[in-house]
Amino acid sequence: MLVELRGVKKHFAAVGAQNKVIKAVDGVDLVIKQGENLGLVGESGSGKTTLGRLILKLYDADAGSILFEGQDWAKLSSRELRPLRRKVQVVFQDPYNSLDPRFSIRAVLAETFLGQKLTKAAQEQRMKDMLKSVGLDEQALNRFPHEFSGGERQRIAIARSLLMNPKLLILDEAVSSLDVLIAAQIIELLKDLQAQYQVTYLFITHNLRVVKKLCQKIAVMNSGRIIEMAKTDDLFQQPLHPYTQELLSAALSYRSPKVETVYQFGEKSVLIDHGNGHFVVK
Amino acid sequence: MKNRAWSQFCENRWAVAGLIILGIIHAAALFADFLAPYSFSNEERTYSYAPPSKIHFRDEQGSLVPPFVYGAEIKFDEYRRRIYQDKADEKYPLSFFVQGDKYKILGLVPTTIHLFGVKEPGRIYLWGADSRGRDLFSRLLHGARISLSIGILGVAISFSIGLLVGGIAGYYGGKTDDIIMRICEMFMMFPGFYLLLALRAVVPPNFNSIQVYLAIVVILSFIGWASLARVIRGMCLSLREREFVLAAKTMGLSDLRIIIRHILPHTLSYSLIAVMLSIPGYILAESSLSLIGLGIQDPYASWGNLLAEAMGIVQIKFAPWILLPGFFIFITVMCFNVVGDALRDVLDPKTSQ
Repeated sequence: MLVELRGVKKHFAAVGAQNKVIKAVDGVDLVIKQGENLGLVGESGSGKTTLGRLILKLYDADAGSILFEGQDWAKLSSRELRPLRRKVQVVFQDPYNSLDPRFSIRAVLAETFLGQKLTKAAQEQRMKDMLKSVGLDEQALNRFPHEFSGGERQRIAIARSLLMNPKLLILDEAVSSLDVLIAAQIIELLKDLQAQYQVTYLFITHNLRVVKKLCQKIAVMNSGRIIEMAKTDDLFQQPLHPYTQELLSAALSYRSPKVETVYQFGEKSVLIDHGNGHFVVK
Repeated sequence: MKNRAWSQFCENRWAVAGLIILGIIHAAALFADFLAPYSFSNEERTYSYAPPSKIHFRDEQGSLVPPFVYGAEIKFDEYRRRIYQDKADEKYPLSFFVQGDKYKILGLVPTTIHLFGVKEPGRIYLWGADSRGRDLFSRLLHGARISLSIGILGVAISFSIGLLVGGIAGYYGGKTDDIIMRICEMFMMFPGFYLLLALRAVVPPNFNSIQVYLAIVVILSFIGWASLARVIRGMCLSLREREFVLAAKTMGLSDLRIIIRHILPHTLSYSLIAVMLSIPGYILAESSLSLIGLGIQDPYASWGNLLAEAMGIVQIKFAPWILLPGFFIFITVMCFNVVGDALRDVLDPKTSQ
């Protein structure tokens, strides 16, 4: 069990309205197993990014617990937490924003070696190797983020994440801002890298087609809840929840979902097992 | 992008002129010992309020000779006021790289060479003398050292504090932010000049001049950091949500490292503008303190205490050159403001097109 979420909640105060909260994540149970890529799918505002940031411990959960390798990070002091953080890394959606524009690629990557005792030569070698594995030239080291295209930056961001030797890599809409071809290349790259670096992916996206290639399991989110969770093939063949069906038909027919249904969930709505690891909310 | 900003800056004639003038004034202050014919404390009391020396290029026959000054004959009028007249038989040729008062170049190499001067007992007063017969030109240059360095040093200290405090408040947000910002507001609440006076009163009166100098720097920085901290905090509040900052956080970098390496550098262009626009405040504050006798003490010179001599109407009437320090304060403050404004036009994305 790599990550285990139990009843996790995160509410934000609504801007401009007092006593009103936005329930970004509202009671999520989720398990990510080592080596089993999970796709977290939902429309914008469904709370999937917040969930990712909760796992990254960029936010503190309001309720529930998140266990990473059986350990609850919320119970650690920030001093104890910092060295552990490298185990969960993230690649963000916006490649133009995820690399410090003032840093050369060498400086960006070299930051991953902080706290490790590595000689300069060894660092250099690791950076070059890593750039090669993400399909970039080692000349890239001396250049700055603005000299690269969006796809290349995303490769650099992946390189940075993998240099940390993470157990879990959260890809938060990592290919959503790239065009279809480049996105497909990045997905292929991620597949190749997985075997080499023994990393598990949590792929957060609104695009079901992207997840299909990479993930063994898919969880569909809406209104801060997980409404359906199944193995990828099962979900594509037999979506049970109407929202999932709508998402699927939209994804397969290249059109936007017909209705933006808002689903209300009470305290009692729970995931029901339909066999073979297929869960649907009641 | 940097080059674009620079060329845009150069289009502003006033700003370029201001920058050049500031360059000249600062260079003059740096090499004050060499450029000035006398040290700041070299006095000759018989030459009290001597007018600016006339430099002659022609002798009595009207032929061109190397520049010289006449010796002075001092008479008193009915009010016992000194009247200076040229002594026709005493000529002191103006020479360059002459021996004079001892000093150290940039505080390191001891030497006695001055750019120009005349042989003793002749004296040269380019811009007149003060009440004790000290050369105003020399004292202005030496005073520039103190006045300008207080501005720069004060800004350097208060900006280090302001950046760090603002950075911490903005990065952590929440309670930390609230507490720090309320403290900042407390500092900003007091009228600056009275706080200045009150703090100056705390400094022991038996401090020597260097200690007083440092005390003034510290006092000025103490007052100045809050307003910068506030603005930096606002910028950090938005910067901390940027994804490269979040990424740095997930990489396990320490908060201080994130603030210093990833957040504060992005506030640099604003800080530069703010530095330029706040230096004049420090120069003026030092001048005001010294003007009312609470700042730099005689015999050390600063523009403020030089100007203090010009507080009486009689002195201004009979020796108007003692107003020159005020003119220099004015020019310097103007230049900093013009340059700062131009920098803002160029660097601040909100005002530039």
